[in-house]
Amino acid sequence: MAAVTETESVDKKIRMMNSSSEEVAVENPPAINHMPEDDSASAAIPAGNSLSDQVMAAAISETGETGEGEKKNLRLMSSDGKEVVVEAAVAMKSQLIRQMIEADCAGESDVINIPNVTAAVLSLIFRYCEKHLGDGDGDKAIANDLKSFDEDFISVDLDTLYDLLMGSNYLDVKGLLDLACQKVADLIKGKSPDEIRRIFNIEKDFSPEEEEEVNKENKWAFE
Amino acid sequence: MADEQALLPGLPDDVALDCIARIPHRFHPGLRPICRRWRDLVAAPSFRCHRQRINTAEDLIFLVQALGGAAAESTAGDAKDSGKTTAAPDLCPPIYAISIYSVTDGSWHRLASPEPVPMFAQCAAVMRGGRVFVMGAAGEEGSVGGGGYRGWILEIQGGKWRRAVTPAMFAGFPYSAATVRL
Repeated sequence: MAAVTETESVDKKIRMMNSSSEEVAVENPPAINHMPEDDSASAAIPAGNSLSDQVMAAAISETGETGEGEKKNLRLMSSDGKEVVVEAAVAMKSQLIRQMIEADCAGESDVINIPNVTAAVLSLIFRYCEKHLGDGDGDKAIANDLKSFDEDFISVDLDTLYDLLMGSNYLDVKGLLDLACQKVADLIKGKSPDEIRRIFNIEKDFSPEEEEEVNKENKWAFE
Repeated sequence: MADEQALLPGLPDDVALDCIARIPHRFHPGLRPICRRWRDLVAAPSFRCHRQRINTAEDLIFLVQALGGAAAESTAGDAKDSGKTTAAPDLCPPIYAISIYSVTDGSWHRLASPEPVPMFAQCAAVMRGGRVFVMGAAGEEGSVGGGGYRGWILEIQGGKWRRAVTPAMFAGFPYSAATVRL
């Protein structure tokens, strides 16, 4: 089963998870495939994901689950009281979650509280994370595919865009935060002040004198 | 006094700032009329620093250019039609304008200035504070190199012009200009 693919079916997937504890992200990302089952062959770990691999390897060897290359899952409690299960490697694209894991804040069966982000937004964010697990591989074809994915991913309504901004800011997922900030900038540039105020709900608060002055000030002679 | 409204209502200001700082420089004049906070933000030195910090600052080249003879030609054309003997087109004073070329994205823009840019105007930039100075001497009618001079400071951020005061003894054509931080 792939990670959540349609935002409309997010709620459905979450209900499924609650009742049957299914994993959210199941597709084997490259990092996990290369991970050795015993912890002595660390030289085989690809450089790009070495830190998370090492943490993963350590976590698995500590708990003794080395038999079948079972992926470690994390359980998160969203702000709206739903449990979100996600593969640890995907979740650790969030620097906040990564630091919590590395500081050993969550044991085997502990649930990590994410009080600022709803389950729906968490799932969206992890969908981005899963797609970007192989970041830095340098493969041009993959980079183009990612660019196209990003463009589609960030083409959402303003409320969702704001949710993604706040969520990626809180969870510290830099790539997604940059993508979302750039999208807002793209939505603003080139629009008239009236349009910008309308879309972003900004109140014009100039006094008549201030307004006259700001309109008198220089504009470009040509665009 | 009413609370200041957020830069982007619904977002904390630090996140909003990260978004606004990604808007290319050529759109900044259009941001000033939005509201007080945007007007002040676009001109603030801190905004310039933030753009440099997140690597969205652009390299801009300011040029004083003599515009092609179109304006001069039309003046000469009118005079000819009226049957008067007139000055030849190349004696009509050329019109100068400030152009901005963005090295970062290859875009060109022409700046509207509060008064005509005088002949032989020079641009000089002061890096700290993001200011461009345009200084020039305006010839009096009928003479080249007359006594008048005009100087302006253009605050690059947001395209705001301010008149610079130049004492009479420093009036004159600026043939070249250079700035350095000592």
